[in-house]
Amino acid sequence: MKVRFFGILRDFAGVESVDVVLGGSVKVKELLNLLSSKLSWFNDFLKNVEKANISIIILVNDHLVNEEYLLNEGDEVTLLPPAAGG
Amino acid sequence: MRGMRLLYYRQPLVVNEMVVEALITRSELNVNEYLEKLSRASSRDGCGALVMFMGFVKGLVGEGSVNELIYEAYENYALSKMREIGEEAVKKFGVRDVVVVHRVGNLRPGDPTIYIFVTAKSRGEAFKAAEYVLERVKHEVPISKLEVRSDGEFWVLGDGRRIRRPRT
Repeated sequence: MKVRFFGILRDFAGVESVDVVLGGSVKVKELLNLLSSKLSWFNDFLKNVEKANISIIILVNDHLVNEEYLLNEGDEVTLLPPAAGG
Repeated sequence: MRGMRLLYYRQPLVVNEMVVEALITRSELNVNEYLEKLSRASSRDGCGALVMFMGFVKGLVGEGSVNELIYEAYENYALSKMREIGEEAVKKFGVRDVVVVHRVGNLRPGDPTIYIFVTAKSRGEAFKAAEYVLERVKHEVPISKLEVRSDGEFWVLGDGRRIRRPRT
């Protein structure tokens, strides 16, 4: 599974993406908690997002989901900041 | 379709002979070509109004002069969302055509950033639909904006809030 970062979130993460190997299906929120507990930079990333008061939009395989969505191995998770078009 | 297909690099969506299309491009648009093709085609269905909106890069924000605005789109989802918004505008306002074109890349002050074209039988619904499409695109389509100014680099969030770029 791959987790991608976009826009300001890529700056906060300091990487374009991270590869994750899961033992089984997990919810999006469980994946975020898992990454936060295993990777100090991801923990810092979440703290920076909270400090900047940014709502994260979550896509899985280019479809909008929420934190309860059940992920499977091979899914691609993209974390987007709020839209800023125009 | 009456030749409308020539306007687009992707397969246009046809809704009862109306055109809803979304495009993300690095290039400036030939606006006159769009205006002429849309007005000629829609006139045959009784339309008499075309509203076009064009946004462009500000050269001054607060105390900082803007050098460039760097746009980036999460393209697949952005395009599908732009099309969805266009389709909903057609249903909501009964307009004939909705075309939304968003630019990406490094844009300088005065450069066009977004174009919206709406054709309709009369001006009222065309104006309303164009505004509806613009507001939804600004708030729902995953496009990121980095403002490079004389006083630093800032990420521009959807609500106009600016956050100084980390690590600059």
